[in-house]
Amino acid sequence: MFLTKEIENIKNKVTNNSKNVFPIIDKSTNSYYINYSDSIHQKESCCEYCSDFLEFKKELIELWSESDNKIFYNDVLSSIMQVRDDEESIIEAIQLYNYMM
Amino acid sequence: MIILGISALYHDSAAAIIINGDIIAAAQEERFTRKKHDNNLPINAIKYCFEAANISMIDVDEVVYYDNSLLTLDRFMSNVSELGNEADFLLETKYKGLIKSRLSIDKLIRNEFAVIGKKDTLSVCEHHISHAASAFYPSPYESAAILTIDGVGEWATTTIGIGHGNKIEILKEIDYPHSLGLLYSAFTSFCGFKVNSGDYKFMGLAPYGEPVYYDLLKENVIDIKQDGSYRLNMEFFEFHKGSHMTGRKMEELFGGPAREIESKITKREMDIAASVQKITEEVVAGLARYALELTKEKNLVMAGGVALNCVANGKLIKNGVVRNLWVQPAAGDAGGALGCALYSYYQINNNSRKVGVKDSQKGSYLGPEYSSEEIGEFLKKNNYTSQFYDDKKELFRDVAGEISKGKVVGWFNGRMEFGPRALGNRSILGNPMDTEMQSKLNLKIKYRESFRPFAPSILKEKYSEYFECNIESPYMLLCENVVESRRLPFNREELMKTHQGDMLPVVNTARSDVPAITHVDYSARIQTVSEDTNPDYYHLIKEFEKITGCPILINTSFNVRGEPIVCSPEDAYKCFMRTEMDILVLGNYVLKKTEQRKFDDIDDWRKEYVLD
Ligand SMILES: [Fe+2]
Repeated sequence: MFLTKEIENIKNKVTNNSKNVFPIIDKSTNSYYINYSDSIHQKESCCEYCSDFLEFKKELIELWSESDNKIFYNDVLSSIMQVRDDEESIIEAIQLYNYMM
Repeated sequence: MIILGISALYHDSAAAIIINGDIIAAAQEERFTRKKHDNNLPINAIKYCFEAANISMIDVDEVVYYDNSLLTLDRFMSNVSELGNEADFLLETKYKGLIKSRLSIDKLIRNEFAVIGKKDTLSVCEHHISHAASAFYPSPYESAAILTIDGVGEWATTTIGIGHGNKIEILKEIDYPHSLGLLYSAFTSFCGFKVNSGDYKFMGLAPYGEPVYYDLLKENVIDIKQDGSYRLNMEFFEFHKGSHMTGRKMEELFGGPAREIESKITKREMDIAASVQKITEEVVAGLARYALELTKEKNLVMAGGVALNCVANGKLIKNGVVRNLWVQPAAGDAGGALGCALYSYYQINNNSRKVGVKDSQKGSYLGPEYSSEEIGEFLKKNNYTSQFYDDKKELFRDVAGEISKGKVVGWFNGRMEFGPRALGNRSILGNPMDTEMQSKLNLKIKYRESFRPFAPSILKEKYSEYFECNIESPYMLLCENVVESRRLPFNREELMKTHQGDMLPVVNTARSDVPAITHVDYSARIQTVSEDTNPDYYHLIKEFEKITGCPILINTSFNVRGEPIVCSPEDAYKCFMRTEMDILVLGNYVLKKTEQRKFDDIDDWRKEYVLD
């Protein structure tokens, strides 16, 4: 089993903090399009080429640290930086994420 | 400038190589590993690309991955948060893989090839930008509206953009979980077909049914706005939970459980397929109209898995939504490999783009080819009986003669196609005038469901004599109706009733003078063949026309059910011997089944390939 205890912890936290992340149907609106440039997930700089994948992640953190979600992204992505060599740090990242939610 | 594009770790891994903007080679990994939809790092496809370009990894200026894994992680975490205590399955299965593979893609490449190109660095390109680039850059248009629709990339599931000269720009998007591709897949799965590989079957099933659930779907499941944008009612879907596409609520809506895989197909599934197809066409048309309006363009280019829905594409033309349409033949994720490489070359490195009269996709014949010497060597080594034709004209004449007599031919010639369609280089060919050919090919050669239609390859200049539309379809991405003068009286509804929903007798009832390629609604998924793009294939059809008066051949991909399309002469020979195919053509060599020794098949291929 993969880090059962940690997942359990996350689940509990998520359950306590759960809210709708996905938008639901709203028949009163005229359009469901999102402007690409407004999308928090996909700022223009996200798709710029970076000299290195890791370098790219750093840039992304910088970019996002200027946004409203500052703490969340900064912390989460800092954790992700180590993730590739450390499975447990992703758990921390998710915990952090949920905490911020 | 040499650029390698890689698509991997989602569905259809692939690699593409471009040199100074010229598409040199592109291929899907599944063809080499013989594992359908192989999604591992495409080591073999990359090696093939290097071979075709006569280079090695150290010569590559830029290596680009077609997806931004960090954004995917962001989506994943939002998904977990949305689910709360239902996130169990997702956490325990999906995300470990995400971390281990996609976030470590640079590591994976380095492990295999020691370095990542000249600079030992990996660039990434957003998933839908890769799709958009694959649609626009190879197209024959100086400028165009761009529409990409798939299951999901990182967040985006649908985007609208504009391409002009060497630049593209994404303007609008629709994000996960609202996804036309996932809606389609959800119903593919609900009707008992496999997600992804079963999508075509689901589309093929639609003409047997009536769209009786159309209103029900629009009232409950999907809200479509005037401008083509849409949102799903997630109460009916489970794909965000990671295990099933739909759940109990969907079963309640359709008055019973989802169809079990391989069980009998009932009228309900046919009607669902027809209804979902109608919804798909409506959304695609809405998106296309809005894209053209927003960008003030006359040309439209498309990519993403949904762009393989040739029925929806055909309707864009038929209903006058757009005059000029170009769809990337590798519209699914494989094509992302080509897209991200082109994006790097034009957008990032700012190289100029020249647009010709023709597209720069080269007929999508971008895969491996085998010389006459190599094929001869293979045949000699295995001591297989064959006849060598020095003069290809003679070969075309003889083979066309055999096809006219009802023989089924495995046709292996030139470079393998890039994308899911066989376009006359790795194809099984048959006589379209033969009423029983559709079920014969399905049951004895392809070992698949008898209701699935076959596609025609037609000489380009004869197109309008047979089909209702006059725009070229070189990549088999448009469905059009057979012209009225060639149709035979055929009442599908009545026949379905008479045969109590049994599709086989309905399939075997002629609907036109080219019955094997005419679907039950008189439509056909067309490939127009031109002499300059594929001269050999063109002349083979031409010979067939001389004998029979018909400028059409049935063209179905060279494989059996669940098997990737054949890549090498060895794959082709195996497939030939395992099925009731009569003749195999390998370049200049012709092999007859009756002259072959008994084939010692060490592997049971029915176990080798998982049914799709
Ligand atoms: Fe995609």
